[in-house]
Amino acid sequence: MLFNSYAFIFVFFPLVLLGFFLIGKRNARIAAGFLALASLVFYGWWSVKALPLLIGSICINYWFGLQLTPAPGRSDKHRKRLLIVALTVNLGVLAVFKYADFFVGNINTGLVAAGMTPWPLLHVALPIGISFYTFTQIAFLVDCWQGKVHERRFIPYVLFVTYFPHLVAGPVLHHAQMMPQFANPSTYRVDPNKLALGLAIFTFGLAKKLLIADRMGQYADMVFNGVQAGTVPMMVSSWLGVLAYTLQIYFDFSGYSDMAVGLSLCMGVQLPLNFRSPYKSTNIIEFWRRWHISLSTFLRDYLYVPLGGNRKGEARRYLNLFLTMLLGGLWHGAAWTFVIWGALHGAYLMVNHLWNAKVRRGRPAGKLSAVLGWALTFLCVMIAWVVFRADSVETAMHLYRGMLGLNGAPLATFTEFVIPYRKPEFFQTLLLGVFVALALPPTITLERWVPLVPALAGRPRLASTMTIATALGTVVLLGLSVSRLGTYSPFLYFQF
Amino acid sequence: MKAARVWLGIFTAGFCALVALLIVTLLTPPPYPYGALTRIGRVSEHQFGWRLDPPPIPVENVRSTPLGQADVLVIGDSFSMYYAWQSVLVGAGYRVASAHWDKIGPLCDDFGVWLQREGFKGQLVLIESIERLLPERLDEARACRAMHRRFEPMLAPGTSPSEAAPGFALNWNAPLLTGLYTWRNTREIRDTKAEFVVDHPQHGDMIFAAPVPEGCTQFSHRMCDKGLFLTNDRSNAVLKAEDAEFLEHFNALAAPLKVVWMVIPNKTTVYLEPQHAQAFVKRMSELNVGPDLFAMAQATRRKMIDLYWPNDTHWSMQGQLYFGQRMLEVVQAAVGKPETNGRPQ
Repeated sequence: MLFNSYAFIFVFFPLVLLGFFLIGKRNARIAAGFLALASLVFYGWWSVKALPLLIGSICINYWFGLQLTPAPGRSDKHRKRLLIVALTVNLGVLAVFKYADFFVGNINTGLVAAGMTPWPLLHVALPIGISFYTFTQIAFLVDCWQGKVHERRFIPYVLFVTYFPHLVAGPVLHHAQMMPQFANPSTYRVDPNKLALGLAIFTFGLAKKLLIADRMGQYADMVFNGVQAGTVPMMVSSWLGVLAYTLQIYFDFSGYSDMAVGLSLCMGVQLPLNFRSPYKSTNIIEFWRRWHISLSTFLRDYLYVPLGGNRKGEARRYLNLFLTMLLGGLWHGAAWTFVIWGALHGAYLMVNHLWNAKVRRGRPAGKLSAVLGWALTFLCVMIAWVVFRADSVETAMHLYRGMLGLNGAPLATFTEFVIPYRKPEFFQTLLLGVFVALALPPTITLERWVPLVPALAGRPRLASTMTIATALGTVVLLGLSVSRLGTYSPFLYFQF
Repeated sequence: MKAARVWLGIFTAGFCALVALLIVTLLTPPPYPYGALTRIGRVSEHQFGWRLDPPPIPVENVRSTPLGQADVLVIGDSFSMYYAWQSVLVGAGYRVASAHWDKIGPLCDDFGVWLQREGFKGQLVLIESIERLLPERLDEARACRAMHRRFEPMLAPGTSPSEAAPGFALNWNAPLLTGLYTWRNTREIRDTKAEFVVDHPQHGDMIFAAPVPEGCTQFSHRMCDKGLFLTNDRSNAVLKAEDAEFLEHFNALAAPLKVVWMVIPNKTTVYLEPQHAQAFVKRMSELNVGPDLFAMAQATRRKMIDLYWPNDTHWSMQGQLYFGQRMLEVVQAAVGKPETNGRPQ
């Protein structure tokens, strides 16, 4: 079930919310169980076939977690061996479902070149959300081994993994953020302030997705799919197509994350912030502190730091950084395009750190250099998105040639493509997207406005008017967004 | 806390309004598989959907023959995509290949030579076109000296195009306001005595509704005194006598291949404006470049309910088979019966 569907907005979520609080009034433990069950229904709606894998993964990792926790009579050596087994099982499952055909395909390239018979591809269907729930549980296992996990009950663990707002596309959750909230009795009682704020954040996320990301996506698809099919892109069309995708992926994924945060807040549970206006970044280091924060944090804590982080000298630090980004790229999908995207960002980060160490040396950036830094950062991010979005390196190269003007640079836009809707509407949406991404604060700042504006505490009439205005504005925005349902609306991050 | 309750009260009221809109949309039947006019204009399928069970079309007759083995080649548009009228020819034993105008490109002076070069060994080509698109297609043909594209066949659907009208189903896939727009447009059509152009936000084709005299003897839909039509039927260029002469000229260029033109009258021409393009029709008959489907449609529209679908611009399945019978006569007259046309079956 999609967040942006009638079934979810008008049936599933209202019923779950009602059931959760009605049950929670009487028994918090049963309410947690109800929410876990609802989450499994939510996942099963996507794919009943993938449900046994999810349930199996939960059960085996829960058992691993119990066995990994320090206890009298358990040696560290035994626990470490078990941790390696647990990680191998998790990464092995991920490898089979996500990377097997990529691996076989690359082997086959070598076999064919050597004149040998290629291996058959497995064509295993990718279970939705597998990357997210595998990473969530890997973090849990490592923390169990380190003795940081104290909640040992099964139902809260099931809820932590399956919790439907985050299950299929993140944010990647940490048990230390979630378990105390699930254990808190006040979570199971209606908090009108949280409910109002949650609904507002959900609505804004939905609007980002349906009113901006999807509109941009139609033009981005037109350009990338057109080039894939053989259209030669001109310079202006190439840049606009890449800009459209740059906005699409941000509004799509941050919109989804906002929806997840909002839905969860309605149920009294705070999810971590996943995006903090990343396109305002003035350097790449800052970009990765603002983009997909939960994944960046995971990669830092569970990959970069265990690799040695910055504790083993300058050269090793840069190598660790590069490797982390390379694997981060591969996490997004089994294709060389994602590996190249990760490598590009790894290289960007290395250059950025080198620049800071050798040139900037702790001096604060002036206004001009901040503007130049922003422009360069945005450009680098756009260039990397080309290879991230393209179906193949070949398509990406065609786009790069187009961006460099090697296919011609007429001022006309998109004349080489069949446009999905009128160009003036595209440019209006593009400008709106650029304005929202660069000029407005992140959605979470709605807490300053909904349901009450704290800054107007001394002016009750104005505060009441603002309450009414934000409520009306939110429901109108919901109506506008919902009126776009039933048209083109894919979610990008579900495939990762 | 009070502010939050006020906020939630307003939001809930708005949400209830959205739920009401959704319920209206869910209960508005989705467009039929063939219902371009109701879909484009957002007009009630309940009121304008056809209600007669279509005649069966055996799926074994809904097939395409490779160009090199075909007796007859059809170049057509959406009227030929169902493979319904061609099924009559196939049922009679002819091997029929079909291609779409859009995939062939403009027809050019070297059409006959090109077709033989692409492997066609038959003698007869039927070129089908809807009336409203033919002027533009002929303009392109007049300007074209040589065919450039390779022949690309139109794939047969693989199932029989003759489907019964769908039953009730919740309309989960439509935009939220579809139900409201549909209700509003249908009410306007019902209440307007004259013609009514349906306003809709999509760019592209527009539709209008018009009273059809004796409509209930010609259509099976509920609001049968009104018909739906495409505005392009009127706004596109009108076929002229010179166009018929160009068809004859084109046929001469394509010799020794026999070319027969199958010009399908617009739905608007059949039901509202029988005199539309009459100069062309008259000249076409004089030159004998193809059957007069205009006269056939006029003669039959009161005898056959739903000759054209009420909710679409195309022939219904009964219309397809009726005109298919006429085309069978044309083919037999041109190349003989299949068993006597000199090629093994």
